[in-house]
Amino acid sequence: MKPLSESYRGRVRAVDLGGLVVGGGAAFPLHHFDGELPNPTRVCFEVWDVAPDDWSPELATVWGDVYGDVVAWAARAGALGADALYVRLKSADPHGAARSADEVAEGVRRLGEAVDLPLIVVGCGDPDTDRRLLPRVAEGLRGRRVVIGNAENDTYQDIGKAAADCGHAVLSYTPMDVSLAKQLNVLLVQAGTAESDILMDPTCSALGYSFEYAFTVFERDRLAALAQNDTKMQAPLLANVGQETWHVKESRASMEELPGHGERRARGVLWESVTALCLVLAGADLVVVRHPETARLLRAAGAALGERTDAWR
Amino acid sequence: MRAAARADIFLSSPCAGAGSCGKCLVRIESGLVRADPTAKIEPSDWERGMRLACVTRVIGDVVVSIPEAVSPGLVHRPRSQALPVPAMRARYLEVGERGAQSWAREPDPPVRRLLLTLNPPSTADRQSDLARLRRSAAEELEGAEPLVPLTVARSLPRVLREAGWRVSALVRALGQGWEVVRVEHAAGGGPSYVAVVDLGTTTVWGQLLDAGSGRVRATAAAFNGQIQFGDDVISRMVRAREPGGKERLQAAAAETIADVLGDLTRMAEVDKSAIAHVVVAGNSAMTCLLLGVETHYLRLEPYVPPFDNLAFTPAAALGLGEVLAAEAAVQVLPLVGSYVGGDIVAGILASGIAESDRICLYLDVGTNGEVVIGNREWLLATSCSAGPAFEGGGLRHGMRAITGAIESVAIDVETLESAVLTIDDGPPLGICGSGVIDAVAQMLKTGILLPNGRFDPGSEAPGLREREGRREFVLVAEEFSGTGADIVLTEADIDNVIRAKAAMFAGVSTLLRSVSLEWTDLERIVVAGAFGRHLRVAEAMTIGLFPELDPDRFEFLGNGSLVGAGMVALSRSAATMAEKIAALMNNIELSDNPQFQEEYVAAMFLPHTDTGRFPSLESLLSERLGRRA
Repeated sequence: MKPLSESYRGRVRAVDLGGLVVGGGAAFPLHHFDGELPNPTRVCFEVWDVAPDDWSPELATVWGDVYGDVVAWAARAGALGADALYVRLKSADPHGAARSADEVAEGVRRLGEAVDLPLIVVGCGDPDTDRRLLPRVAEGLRGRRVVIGNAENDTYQDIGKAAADCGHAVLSYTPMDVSLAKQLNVLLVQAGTAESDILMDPTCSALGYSFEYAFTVFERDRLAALAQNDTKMQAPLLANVGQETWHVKESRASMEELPGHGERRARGVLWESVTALCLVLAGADLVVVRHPETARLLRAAGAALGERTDAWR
Repeated sequence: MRAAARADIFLSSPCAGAGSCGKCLVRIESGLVRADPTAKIEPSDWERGMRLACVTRVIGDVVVSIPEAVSPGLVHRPRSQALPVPAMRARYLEVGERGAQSWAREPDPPVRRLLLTLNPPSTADRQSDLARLRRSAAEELEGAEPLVPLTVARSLPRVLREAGWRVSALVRALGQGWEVVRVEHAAGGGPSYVAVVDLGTTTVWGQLLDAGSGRVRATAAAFNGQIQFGDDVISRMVRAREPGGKERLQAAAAETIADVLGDLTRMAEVDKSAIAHVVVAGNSAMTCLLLGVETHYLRLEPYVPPFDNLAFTPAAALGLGEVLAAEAAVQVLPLVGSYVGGDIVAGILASGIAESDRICLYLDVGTNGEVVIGNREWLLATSCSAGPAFEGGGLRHGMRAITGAIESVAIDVETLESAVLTIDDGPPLGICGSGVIDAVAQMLKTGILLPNGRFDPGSEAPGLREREGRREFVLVAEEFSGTGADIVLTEADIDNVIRAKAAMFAGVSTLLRSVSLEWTDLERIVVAGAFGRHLRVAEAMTIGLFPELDPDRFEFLGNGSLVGAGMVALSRSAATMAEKIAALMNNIELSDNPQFQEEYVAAMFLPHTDTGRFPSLESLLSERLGRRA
């Protein structure tokens, strides 16, 4: 039997996150038989610069004692196998801790000094706050290349410019639409960001929650890069999985609430792992997760599917 | 100034051609022009041939130079900077020559006046008066003897004898045959006219045509009086369901048409009794509401219209008896589907695509964008809600394409100053569709506008400013406008333009995909719409209303519905063709089509997310990016 294989005209751009390169492949992740994949899929752990109040108790058993100490949290994430950190600056949230931009930026700067892991630093999600905060963060981390996000339709100009000025990469974020993703990339480049400094978060969802839509958006983003050789779509894809899966009923509900569905810890980890693995197959170059067990399962699955295990940390 | 604009040279004109700013100085080297001396030009300069371009009329071939001193303020667009590919040269499309008149060459009107000389009866020829009339008329009607109704027969014996057996008979098509509607003294029958009406949801346009030659005697427009019952067809159909609603909407439409017809007769200085026939083209809802036909089921699946072809309706039955000849009848264009009506059938008729072997696209850019693809063998239609931006609606300073509307805009690539031309060179009052297309295209090409429709905060264009936290671009400053206030384009305006063009582009793309065709397969693209007297194809491509294609494939028809109605009014064969078109046409619904939604989002970008369809603009923009970097 001769296995069928696809070959593509295009290639995903390799982007340096700061000592760690993602992307660069000429095929879908894990599809080694279709084309060269110089860099394996990477797993980022999500950490916050403030104690989360709505994370699952199953996650608190792993991180609870380091909540509120982002440096300690980051160090443990490294010890538990993170390839990189996805640092959400939740403390700046005007509806939460509402810390000042200076204070938040200083916290990230210290984190940058304390850990070697590559950092993807994203704002609190409030556009007005992030527009003012992220340029400070970028400035504070000058000299240590990181990824700054999220650059969105309303904030990309300030964030893109700040990142470019300080030598950082940019995470562009769009709400689950192939066209919108491309449009934002075009705008970022027009505003002065180099194409090789862009990483895309096209938005994902959890398994069972319109997941097939998220899957096809990732797939089409990746096909645009590979099959259509669309240079504006060749940024590596990030799937922010943990924040989606740990909120769904299947991960949150206790044994009493969902009798017959098995142990909650296993449910949460599996929901996150299966969602993440599917998105990797659909094109994700790096996935953001909350549970270290997910990272282990993903790597095991990757190894079983022929991923170069030596590339895993 | 207009001639220069045609040559792609836009002279600086802050006063928009009023002759008051003195910026558009040119020197007439040779040739004849007409202009009055002005205080803006020194007598010595006047002697040297200096003139203000905006108030100078070219009489013959002239050679004109632009003095050095003026050049810095000149809004010029050297071709290399405008667009690098020669095929993308700026090209104006004027309203086509192919109008209703072209059909009049072989006149075959459904209503005609016959001059008859009858043989008087004698003992040898004892035929009845009526039979005598019919036989005589048949000679003029290819052997078909017309029917004569009692109303005519009653006075016939007297009329024939008083006229000395030389009479003028007004006949009208009835099914495959004819009927006589009036008989009078041969000298008494003056010229006869037909009126055509484009019954739009927003605007009602009317035209008075000479029934014989097809010449246009007058054109008039009014807002549809039904607007008080709702802006769109759905809300009006809802209102029609109320008790007495159908009658109120019928009366409002009839009154609007009566107003337009009244204006037409006044403008052409003809008597209302000379209008023998009226042809109305409207969308399905408008046509039904005018005729008082039940519209409730039009709104429901499977979206079937109440009728396709309808016999002529006596004008008096519609409340139009007052403004027309007593015998006048109203003819409507056939309907195809709930959202594909007589206006599209008329447009297709006017475009001639249903007689073509080649695959053509018909695009009526209006509040409801209408799209038809096909040829003589098949026609597929759809409509999409584009919003009124290209008709000047929904824009802060938008207006219809009438005197004083800004119809062309150019922006200098270096100074970023803008220059405008207005319809009839009136003082600028607002901006119409063609002006908006130009303005958005020019702002995009000069980097004032970003592809997402926002102004570039880094742009140093003098016209850019912020008002109440929103950015806007001043096209004409208050001291030069006809309204006494600045004429601006806001980001919200631009958003409406992007939505409108995205809906049109997505409508065409979706329809094309449904028949597995590409834009490039279209050999001829006929554009209709009320956005102005011309359409600059290159700029329409810049904003992504169309992809970059050979401009020679495009034709601009103007108000296609009015042209088609005129053809039907002048030719029975055109009416037959309209029936054929209606029967040939199929339509698809876009409202529940997920592909349309996707195409729409992709088109909500300047020029389009799929930049590969816009290679020239793409290279222009990246070149500018390169220069800046």
